Amino acid sequence: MNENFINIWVANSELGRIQSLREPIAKRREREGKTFDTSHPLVRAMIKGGKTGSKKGSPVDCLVISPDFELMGRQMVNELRTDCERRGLSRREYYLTFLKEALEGKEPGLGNIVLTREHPSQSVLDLFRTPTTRNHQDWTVVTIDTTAFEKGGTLTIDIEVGREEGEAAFYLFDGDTELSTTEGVPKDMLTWKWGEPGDTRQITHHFDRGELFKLGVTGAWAKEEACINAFRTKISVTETQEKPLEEKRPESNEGITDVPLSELNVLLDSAQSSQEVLDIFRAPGEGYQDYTVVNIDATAFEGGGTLIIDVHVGSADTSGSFDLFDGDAELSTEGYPADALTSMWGIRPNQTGQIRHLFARGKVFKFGATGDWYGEKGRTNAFHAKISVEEP
Amino acid sequence: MKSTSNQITLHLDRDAEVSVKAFIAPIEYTINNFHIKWDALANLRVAEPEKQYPVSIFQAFLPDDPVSVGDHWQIEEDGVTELLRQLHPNPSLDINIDWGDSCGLWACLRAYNDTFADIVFRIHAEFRFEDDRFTPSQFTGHLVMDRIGKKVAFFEMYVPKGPINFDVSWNYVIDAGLCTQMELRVGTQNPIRDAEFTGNSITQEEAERILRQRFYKSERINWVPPEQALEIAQAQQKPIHVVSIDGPLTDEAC
Repeated sequence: MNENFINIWVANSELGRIQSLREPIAKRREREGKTFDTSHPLVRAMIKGGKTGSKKGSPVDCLVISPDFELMGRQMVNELRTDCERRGLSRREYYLTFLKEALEGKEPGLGNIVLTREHPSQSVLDLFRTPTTRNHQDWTVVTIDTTAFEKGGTLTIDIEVGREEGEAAFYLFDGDTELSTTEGVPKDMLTWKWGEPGDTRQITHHFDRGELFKLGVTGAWAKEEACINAFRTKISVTETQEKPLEEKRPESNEGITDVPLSELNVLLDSAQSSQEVLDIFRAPGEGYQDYTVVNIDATAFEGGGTLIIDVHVGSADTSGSFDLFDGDAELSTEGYPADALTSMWGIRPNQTGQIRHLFARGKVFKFGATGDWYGEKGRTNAFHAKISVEEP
Repeated sequence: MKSTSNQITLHLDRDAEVSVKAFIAPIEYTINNFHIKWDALANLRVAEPEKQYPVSIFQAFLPDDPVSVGDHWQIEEDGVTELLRQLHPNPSLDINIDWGDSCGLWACLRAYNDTFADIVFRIHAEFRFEDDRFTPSQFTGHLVMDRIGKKVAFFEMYVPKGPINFDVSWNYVIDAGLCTQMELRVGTQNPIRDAEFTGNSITQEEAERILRQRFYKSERINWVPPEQALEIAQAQQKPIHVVSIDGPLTDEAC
């Protein structure tokens, strides 16, 4: 490490990555007469490193930055265990591999979804937004690394669109394509699909040799108001067969949920004791609540059971809080939700959590999703909830 | 108390008693607001503000064998656990977020003269709550021994301040925050502030570095301040390896 790198560590708070510490840190710097030049290219590269990629947010990020301050690689500690398992390496071996790949220009972790024969499928949960200015594309980008498939294969992207009002175009590009923010329909896309709220869509693309791709998602002006919506993709590769899969497989919903996401109500019974919801939540500002509400009808379970809600928060830069209420509760927009049956607060981006609630007889619940009080008011993030009941 | 060449032995008068004061300031900041949402954290206070101990409890911090300046040794666990109970009834030295180099208790002889010996230490511990855990970044401090009277002249064991200085887990969700005061103390003023230790001392920073190295393998890496990295990277044309982290790299706050 000492021979090959200049090594530094820096507190996230110094980089402005902990929003609630921005003001105290600024005051401390003023008091101590110290400055931390956030306009310097190295610091800019660190800040960019914290935001890059399809998965944002980890309490520890490791970055490799070139002498001219370009990002060369990123490893999130939150992903370390999964990444080690995916490649069958110990932590030490994996980290060494990460550093070597960064020096070889492979740009590990810079937004790549890395697919391999052992792990040919990964999921992404994120947001798209309609541009705030007309004729300006606001891209959410997922970079997909299929280089492990040297003899080619078929890339399949199963898409779910959340139930909010935003519509989006999902474009697939070669990995080295620069995405234009001003072009209408991109000329150099490989293929694309349009998605409306609640839609499930599928993109397939055959490739002859492993390469990098970019999935670019941009919202579209269906209404005058700007909109934000969630999307979830399952991205997978099947190795080359005699006939490319896209010729065999018509567009289908296989592999992704059939739940119509535009519905606010989830009805559970013994025949279908589990359903999934994909939506967004919004940060309400400190002291307030801004609930996205899902009504859960579990009256079919007359003998009671355990309501289990597994929540996955998306990659955007705000944490989520989740509360479960009785079905007839009036949801307050202010203060602590004192009448919540159970709560789960401060779930960070890319983190998961679980709510469990035991009920004695069948009833209706309200599940409220809102932003953490410390997120910047109005910021949004996606969430995916698997709602199920276990009978006693 | 005997001295051979530059080594000294350190033993306390086991019959004496000493009063230890404990302090925990109310927690006013956590990243995810756990200090408001979680009663155990909101109401975290010392178990016993003041308590009498036999001086022998501090023998846990002293080495069995003669030592020189810069030597380090492991602290005996039972004595420290007993002291930590004054802060919270359920301390543990077997901390939950162990990445292989997080646990331990180490001390180092920083300085001595005929009157005093200054021992710097570092301890990693956590407090177990009924519904989860609280892990301070570290406990550090000094034990100043009166070599003539074989007494504790001064003792402070505290969690150092920082933007963040503890990590908590509650219902499987993690948070981190700042506690402005968490400490145990004997005496009000360190008596060695102006003492002379001609030739028999190392700096506080050097003692802390020795102790850090007992815990973290990452200390073998030559970490440079970000401001220096700008110049060095351009002069040497080397890539920069950056760790961006919520708390300090070499503690347990994150």
